[in-house]
Amino acid sequence: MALKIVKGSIDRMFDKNLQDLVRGIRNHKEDEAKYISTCIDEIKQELKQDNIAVKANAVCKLTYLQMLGYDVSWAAFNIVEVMSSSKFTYKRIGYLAASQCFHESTDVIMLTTNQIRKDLSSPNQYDTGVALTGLSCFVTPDLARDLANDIMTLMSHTKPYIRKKAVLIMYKVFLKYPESLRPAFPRLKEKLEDPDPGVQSAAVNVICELARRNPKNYLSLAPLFFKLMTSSTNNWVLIKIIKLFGALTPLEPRLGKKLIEPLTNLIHRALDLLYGMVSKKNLMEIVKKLMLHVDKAEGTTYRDELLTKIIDICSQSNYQYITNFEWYISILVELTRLEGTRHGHLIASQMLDVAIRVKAIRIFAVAQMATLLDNAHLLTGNMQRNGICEVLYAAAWICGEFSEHLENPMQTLEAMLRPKVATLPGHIQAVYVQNAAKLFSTVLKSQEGSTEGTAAQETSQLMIDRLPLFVQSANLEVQERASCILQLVKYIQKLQQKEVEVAEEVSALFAGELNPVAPKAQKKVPVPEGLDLDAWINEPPSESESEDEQPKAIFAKEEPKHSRSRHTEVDEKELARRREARKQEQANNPFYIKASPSSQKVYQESPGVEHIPVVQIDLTVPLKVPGLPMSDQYLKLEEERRQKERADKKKKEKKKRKEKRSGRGRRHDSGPESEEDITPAHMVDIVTEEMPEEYHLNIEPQKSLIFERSQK
Amino acid sequence: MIKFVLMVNRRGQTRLSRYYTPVELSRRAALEADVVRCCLSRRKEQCSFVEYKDFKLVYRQYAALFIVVGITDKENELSIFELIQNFVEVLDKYFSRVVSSCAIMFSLDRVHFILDEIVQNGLVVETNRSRILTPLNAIDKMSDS
Repeated sequence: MALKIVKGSIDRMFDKNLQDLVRGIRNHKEDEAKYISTCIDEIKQELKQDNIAVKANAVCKLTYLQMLGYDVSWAAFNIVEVMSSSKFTYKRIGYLAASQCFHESTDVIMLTTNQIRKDLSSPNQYDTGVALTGLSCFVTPDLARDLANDIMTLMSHTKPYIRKKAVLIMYKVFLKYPESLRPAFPRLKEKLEDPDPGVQSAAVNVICELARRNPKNYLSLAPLFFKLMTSSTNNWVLIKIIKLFGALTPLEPRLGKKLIEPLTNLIHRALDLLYGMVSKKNLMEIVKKLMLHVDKAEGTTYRDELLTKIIDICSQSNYQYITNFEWYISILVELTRLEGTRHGHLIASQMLDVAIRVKAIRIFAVAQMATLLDNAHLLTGNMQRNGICEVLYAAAWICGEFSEHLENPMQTLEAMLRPKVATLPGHIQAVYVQNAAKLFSTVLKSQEGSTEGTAAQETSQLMIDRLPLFVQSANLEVQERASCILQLVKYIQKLQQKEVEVAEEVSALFAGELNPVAPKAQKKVPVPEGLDLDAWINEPPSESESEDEQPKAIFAKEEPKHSRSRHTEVDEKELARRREARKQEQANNPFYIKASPSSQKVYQESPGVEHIPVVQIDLTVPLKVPGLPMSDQYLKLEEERRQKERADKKKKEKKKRKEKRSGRGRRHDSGPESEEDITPAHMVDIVTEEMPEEYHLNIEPQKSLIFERSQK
Repeated sequence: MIKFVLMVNRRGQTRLSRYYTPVELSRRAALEADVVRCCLSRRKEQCSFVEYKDFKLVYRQYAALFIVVGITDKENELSIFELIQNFVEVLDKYFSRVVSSCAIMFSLDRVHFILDEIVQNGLVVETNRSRILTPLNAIDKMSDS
């Protein structure tokens, strides 16, 4: 008998534990299957022993083998035995094996019910924890029904560790045994406000999953989730809550409106991230995505935000990230199709900026602008200031200044002088008129060179016919410019009738290139000798006047503040008194015409207008301005270009590699394209801004442009 | 919802597998092989999210080890991507040496426990490293004494 025991313990010494098993398998790579089957036999022997430690070891090895794909369901009963061990480490191994191997049809699961119940109510929290974790993997409807109550009580355990696990396992229990949801639901709701963030996020997780299947029942929880969303900093939780709201909002439209604010905050944060994220490679894709959003966006403020963001990221760091300016211009043109935006002037300034500073792109830009002008009738619908018609400002200026690149200046000239132009805002008309003159000079130059003598005279006649409309404009600037140019053209016509070559002199009017001037340039102009800017030019005024002037001095900053504070001291009573006095005066004054309330009402109620049926114009189809390329083409072009570059580079690398073979023979991928590898489609010659001659440029050119004619 | 977590080496051998939806044993091997083939054939520049059958795979490579997580359509891929990184960092801290396939193989049960602390039922339970490791360290101390 004693010998048996000794023999037994010697055998035990040679037992393999998990590490030995793994090492053995690695060493027997050729005959792995045979080795493993020997191991399984050994395991079977071990499982027949009484010693629980041995059994646990065997079960541990079985877990590993199960992962490799070997079926171990024959050992189910043994696993249960190990689960019921009192020592925690063995118990843990048992549960682990159970969670890996047990499934619905394992019959021994019923034997585990009591064991699990005992473990769940164990004083040791780790026992409970491990039971809960393991249970979640093999819970069956029977188990769920039996154990639901125990788990519910565990949701209010003192330790958050247990609470967390209990909350999560309730989800599985609900799935298997739906009737348990009703009594457990109030407890679950409580857990949403649990002080421990782990429990809270577990509860959020569970409710989100439940709500996704059946959103209606969880609408009542929406306010609670809203509070959580605004107060939580845990990103996982935030993601889940937002997804949940996404499921709930279709059912509750008011919720959608309330969500706009925090969601816009999130979106703003995300958009701000874009600034940092942008690089040469991904700029085009990012902007493309943003454009899609812009198309889909419903709110005009959101669209405007997107628009400003697009332009900001593109023009960052002096257009550092743009490799293809043609693409950028086409993006700008696409943006002009937006309805109701307030940022027309932004787009306009961008167009001007790019056209002026990037010489290579001027031809393309001019062509685009010409098409825009031709189709201006599509854009003149929006009459507001800073509306899209601001773009026409830029278009007209670009066409005028770089008119030598225009293909058909005559057509553009006619487009600029159409009567409909008079409906545009004043400052735009002024630009049109001025640039019409520039175009006129270009046209003259081209026409006088040719043999047709009458063409030039016809052009002058065209100008004389169309300009009077502008001379009669209400805007002073337009009037002035139009009348100047009209007189000039009349004079030119007289000269033409005398067969004098005029074109050279006319173009001399617009000679010289306009370059952007740095905004600090003025400060850097050195003061010439002998000039004292502080000296009085006239006699200083008399003393009394200067005393009076000081309180009203415009340049002193304190004065306005005083007057402002004086106003705020006037209290309500004073205001009311003044109002009364005013009303008395008005009542007594026979000549004062009161605004009659009835006339106002008439204006509002005018029935005629309301009866007119409102037709919804389906603007989901984007306005296509004919002749303008879609910016997507550029994206594809860019992709192809880059791929070709990469292919060329790879060929070169392969040649290099063939020459030197490295010993390892590892596959060496050409790493991702670095920023410097991308050659831009156009060699960008960004014209830097001008400074006074003596000063060296060491200031960064800024975005704003000030123009000044310079002599070259 | 997370459907499964796999750790595979470059030759396609499974080092750890954890399923949160029931998958038959016989089909597991085929599924794992297929998934691994899919991930191993991806180039470095391709993104780490793959659409596979009716769910998505998120994978990350750490030297010779691939960690693949299968998720449902609704789950956020980037968050799972970070989850994998979190998991590896926890393993690093627990084992206090560079995690390799060998380390995982030899203490498979521990890795399972760690994974259980992070993901339960296919949902993310805990992401805070110290909170994940506290119960584990406590248990280890208990079992040693």
